[in-house]
Amino acid sequence: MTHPAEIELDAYAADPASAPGRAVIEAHVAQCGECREYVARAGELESMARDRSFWDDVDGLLVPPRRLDEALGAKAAIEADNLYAARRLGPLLRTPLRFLDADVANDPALRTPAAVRMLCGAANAKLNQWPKFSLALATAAYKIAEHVEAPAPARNLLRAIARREQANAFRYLGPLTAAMKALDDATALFEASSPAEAPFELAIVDYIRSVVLVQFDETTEDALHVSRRAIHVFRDYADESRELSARLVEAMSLHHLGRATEALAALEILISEARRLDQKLILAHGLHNAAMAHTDLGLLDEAERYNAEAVALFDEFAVETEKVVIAWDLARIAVRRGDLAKGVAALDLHRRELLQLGLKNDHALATLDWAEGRLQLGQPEGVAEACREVMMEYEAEGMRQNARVALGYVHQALAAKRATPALIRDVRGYLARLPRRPNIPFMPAA
Amino acid sequence: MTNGDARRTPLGGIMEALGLRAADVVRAADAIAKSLGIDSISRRHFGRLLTGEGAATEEKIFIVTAAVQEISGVPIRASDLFRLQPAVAGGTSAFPSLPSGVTDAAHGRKVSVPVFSPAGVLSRIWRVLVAEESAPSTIDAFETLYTEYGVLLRAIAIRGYHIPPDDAEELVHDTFMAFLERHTYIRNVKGWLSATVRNRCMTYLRDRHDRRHNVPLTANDGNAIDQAAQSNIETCIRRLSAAAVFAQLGEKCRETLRGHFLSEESMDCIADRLLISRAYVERLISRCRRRAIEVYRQMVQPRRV
Repeated sequence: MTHPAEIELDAYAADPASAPGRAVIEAHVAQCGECREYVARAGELESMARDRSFWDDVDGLLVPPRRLDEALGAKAAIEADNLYAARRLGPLLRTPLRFLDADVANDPALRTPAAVRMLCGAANAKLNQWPKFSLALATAAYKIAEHVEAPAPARNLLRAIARREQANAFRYLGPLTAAMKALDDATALFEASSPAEAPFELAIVDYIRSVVLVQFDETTEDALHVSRRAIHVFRDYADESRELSARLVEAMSLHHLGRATEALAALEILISEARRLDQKLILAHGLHNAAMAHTDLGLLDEAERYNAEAVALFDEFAVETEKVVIAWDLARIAVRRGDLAKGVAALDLHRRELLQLGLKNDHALATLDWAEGRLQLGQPEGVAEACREVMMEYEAEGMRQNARVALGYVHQALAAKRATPALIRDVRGYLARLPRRPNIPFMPAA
Repeated sequence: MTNGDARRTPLGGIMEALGLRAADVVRAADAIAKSLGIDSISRRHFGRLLTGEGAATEEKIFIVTAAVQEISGVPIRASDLFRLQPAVAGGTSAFPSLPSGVTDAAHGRKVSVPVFSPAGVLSRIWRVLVAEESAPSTIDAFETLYTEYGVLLRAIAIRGYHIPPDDAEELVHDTFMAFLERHTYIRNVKGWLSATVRNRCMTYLRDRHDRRHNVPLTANDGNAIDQAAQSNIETCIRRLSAAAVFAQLGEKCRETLRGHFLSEESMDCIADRLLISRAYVERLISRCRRRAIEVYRQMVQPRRV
């Protein structure tokens, strides 16, 4: 196709009525998308360029913002504070002992916003590896924030950030009531700092709160409600990575509430977004959770497919614990399919791997899965011994006692040779839920 | 290399601040690289990075950052150590943004890069307006952000929410100051800035309404204002895109087009005003107009997936 010259198209865009060769150009433009687009853009530009306020915009772009120097001054001051805090705190953050010895909270030279920000950042970074150290860092940050010389809104912001980090550490360490209290305090402080910035800060609080709520009681609707509130705000702020994390909690809440189909729908969104953003780790968690939801729905082929992809991703990140947990899930799926011999053999292997990784509670649950399978196979040999070796670790004495009582039922039944797969399944289900419901004693099915 | 040299780069400054030794960092980087199965960094190359004489690939930046984090225990980011390109406008970028060339234009330098966002994404307004790689937030790019993205934020306040220009400037400035207070944990800077400006505009309008009418703005009225503002944003982005095209043109080109389009000056008048010949004015108008259209087309053409 021969296109008209640009000069002809320009003339047509500027004034179609008086353009030379108008009929020919009109006929061509009607058939040629490229020229149609050219004429449309040229017309748009011409029409904007005839508007005085448009030229005000052009002039505005040529003049540096009035308060640029002031803004750069503030930035430079913050950078200098950050550097001082890094110089003073950096060496102390290498080990908990060094940090605790230094008693930074009582050092007047460190009563700066930069020190609070740095300690909170370090607390967040060390959360997975050293939650206790993380709590110590956040606590020091909070103490410093209380003494920072700054206007009340700025001080409230720093206190709120530190309190939120404390909550983050408490959700790892417990007690969960302390996490909730810290989150309530952080909420009040954020609301008192600045209304325009509060929604984003409160969404992070909501996200942490939803995780804590799931830990408290997996069947609560509150976690779902709060995670959805956070998703909405993160989307508004285009914080896609935080939105993905909140979506994971939303899906977990739905799953625990027995709404497996809705959980799957939420997970499919999460999986597709994680793929788009190339967030492989969260994608792996999403796939694993989707596999669990598929298992609950009896869609075992799908569950295996999702688990296979998840395990490949966890392998890429060398996350050994998740790989073994998925292998354990796959063994349970095999049992559920009726492939008892293969499933039980795999359960035996993976329960040992869980113990080697130090995941004692998961080892206990996997051992009970294996015991149930052995009884179904009519092969009770070794089951009593294996169950006697089961040790569960709980922080609270009440939980330890409840776990002992539940396991006691298994031991007695095995010793009396009247243990059934159903009893073992009951005990296993009870122990799996015990951390969320520590005060409910085990009651065997009638 | 002297200590003074090392201080010239962010990497050198941080190393000195944290009391780190180059040999330790290189050793740690080596171990990290080995565990990842990638090439490590030599002491010589690291020395060149310290003085700013050498450049680093993404891989090298990663292992050096990880090494500094490991040794210091400080959650240092790559952007703290290296002068990374700020995640603002670019030809392949998926978000609308003010052109990276605007600053150059302001200083009279000729720029030729296509700027702005693909039009194909404009309809997804807020999400796309602010969509940004989930890179860690940095204050390194602050000046660029303040100068370039600030224009868009001010335009949103003025055009979208009808805030008086002086108040809009204050409001955007305060938003940037609030960002500095939170820079350590904001992951999508543009997203945060845009949503916060929107919140600040709504707070401003609520306060003004309350003062005038002595009754608070209802939630419905607030939502209506917000929705109307958002529907203006697409137009606002297009206008600013086009304005950026003209701002990038050379002064003579720009003034010729201003006279031609805005004042509908005759070619003779323009020639007299700019002290150039009529024939040159004709050529200028034709060439500059075509160039403007071309750049504008590149900016707003639908994204090819």
